[in-house]
Amino acid sequence: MGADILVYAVLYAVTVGAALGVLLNKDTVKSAMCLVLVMIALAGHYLYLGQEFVFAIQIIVYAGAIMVLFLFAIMLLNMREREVTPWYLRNSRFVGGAFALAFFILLAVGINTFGTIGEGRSPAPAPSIPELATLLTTKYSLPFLLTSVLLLVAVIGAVVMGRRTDPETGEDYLADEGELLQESL
Amino acid sequence: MTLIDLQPLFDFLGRFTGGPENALVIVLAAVKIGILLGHVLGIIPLIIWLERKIIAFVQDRPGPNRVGPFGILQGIVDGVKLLMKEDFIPSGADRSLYLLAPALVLVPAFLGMCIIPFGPVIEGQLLFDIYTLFGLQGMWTGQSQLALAVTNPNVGILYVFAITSVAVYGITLAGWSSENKWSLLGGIRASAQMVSYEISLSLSIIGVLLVAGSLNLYDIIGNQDGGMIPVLHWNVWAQPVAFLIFLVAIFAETNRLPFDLAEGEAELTGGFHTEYSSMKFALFFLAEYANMITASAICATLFFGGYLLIPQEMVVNVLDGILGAFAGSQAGLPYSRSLAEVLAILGAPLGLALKIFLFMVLFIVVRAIWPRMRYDQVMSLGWKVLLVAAIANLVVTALGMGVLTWVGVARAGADASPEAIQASIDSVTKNWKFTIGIVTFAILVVVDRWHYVARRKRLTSKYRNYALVPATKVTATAG
Repeated sequence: MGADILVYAVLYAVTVGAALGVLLNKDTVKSAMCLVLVMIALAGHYLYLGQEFVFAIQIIVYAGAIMVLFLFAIMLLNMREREVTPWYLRNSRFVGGAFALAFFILLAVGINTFGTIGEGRSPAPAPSIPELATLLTTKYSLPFLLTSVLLLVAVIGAVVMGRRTDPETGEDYLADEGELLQESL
Repeated sequence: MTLIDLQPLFDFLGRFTGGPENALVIVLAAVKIGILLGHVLGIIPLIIWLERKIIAFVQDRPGPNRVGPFGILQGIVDGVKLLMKEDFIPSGADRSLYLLAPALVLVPAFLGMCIIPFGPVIEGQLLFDIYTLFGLQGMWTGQSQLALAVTNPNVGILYVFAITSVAVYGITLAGWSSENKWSLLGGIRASAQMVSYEISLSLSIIGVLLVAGSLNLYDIIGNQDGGMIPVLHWNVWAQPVAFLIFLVAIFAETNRLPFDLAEGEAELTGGFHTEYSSMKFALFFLAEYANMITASAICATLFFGGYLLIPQEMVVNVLDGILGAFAGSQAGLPYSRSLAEVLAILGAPLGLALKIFLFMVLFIVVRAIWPRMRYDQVMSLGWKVLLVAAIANLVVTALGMGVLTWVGVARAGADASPEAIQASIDSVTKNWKFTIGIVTFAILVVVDRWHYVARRKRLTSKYRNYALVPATKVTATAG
């Protein structure tokens, strides 16, 4: 049990510390890197609860794909230079604080109602990958297909946004890195 | 026979880790990590020397030939030179991220290596003998296993995906934090390229997973074992198209020529590591080679049977014959077949090492003879060719595995038990998986020829008024 507590302590410290880093860093890139750390720490929680599959998917999807795009967008837009705050973000600390408080109450009530893992509840055994696949393609096939349609829409949207027309030949092509950089600066 | 009694040591360590069994797991992992890290770090200077020699051979120069015989110690001298250099941080750089970036490049390179099986799983009587040798027979149970890999998670290959997907950060941050436009462009190029090729890489591997029916690397290797000649069961015969896609994609993932746009020295003066010097530059260098080794090892594991080269029993029999004859000629020498088995297992990593070496030579030769691609060529190859081919390969493989499964069920007969049906499916898919390879490869060849002929016709009709018919259409680079 002693080793368990040590691992949990480290995991919680890293998760909470990195989450604070996301909020308190002025620099957007560092903030994003802290968010990456939060994602990896969450993956660590999953791993320690015996959910290897969720651990791998968490890192691949959140730390690997989504956060890379975050970082990419921040770097391309060069957000550091733009310190102008739009009107709807001026009072953000109060609105955000209210939301945080509401979420905290929600969590507290939830934990109070359903209890935590430590109190005689062990984590559910990790489903094997064939089991997951069977569920995904039979019981949950409709949400699965709808998600793929959503992703397809996103891909088409990206192509439409990146499309440029060559003024000389009239041919369509996708903007390359140089053009995107120039337009964003 | 007990060589050294380690039981008291583990009893002592067990007091901190909740039982001597946990201590054994931790110590074994540490030993395996030490062996792996030592070998990889030790071989990298030699590989760098080999690379310079091969490139020199291709370019008709002598190459490094001053330090040691044939200049073989050049890598060590280079390392010392880099250590002695001034460690320089540009004044405009973002200090913390600038210092963090080399570590973020190096760590995933070594983490990916953890999962590679470099030898079989030891269990049963043989493991008991090994435990006895170290006085640990008290900890042996019937379920004890010792895998010759640092870790053997069930999600196996997904772990590799996870690690490679995190590897982008180091290069991106290195480029961004240097406060240099060339570095930034290099970093952005690298991340765009790695993200693009990761998709083809993953999709090509999924074909292999379908054939093997498991994510675990030991299961994938076991699926490629069997018969007197394991070569015939390699996945490369079942998934030739996936192998080609995977090969191209790992060149792009490791940022090696012809995909080294991230550091193209003609355009970006070194790309993302332009501003790095001394040991930090060396870390990038080290990570590149570590990545190459990891990629080669994964390629060997997925497509070329991993550590399997010669059937293990054959090696054991030959060794047993030789050692037994030797022990018989010397009076009073204790000998048992276990020794031959242990030696055979210790020899298993050599099979993997040989395959990794051949892939490293391929990496180096391609670097020596291939020109760098243009950025738009890289992107169109990744998105318009490899991704499409990978999806097509996946669909054909899935259909093929469906047909093979159906054949397996039909062969087992209507009134067979579920176990018999499963065994029949397994044997049919294992012995006939090469037919999927023939079909996918044939489709690839046909589509490629058709595409080539159609394009050729289009281009020749467009340019028929010109005296010279260009073989390929040259488009102007935008931007």
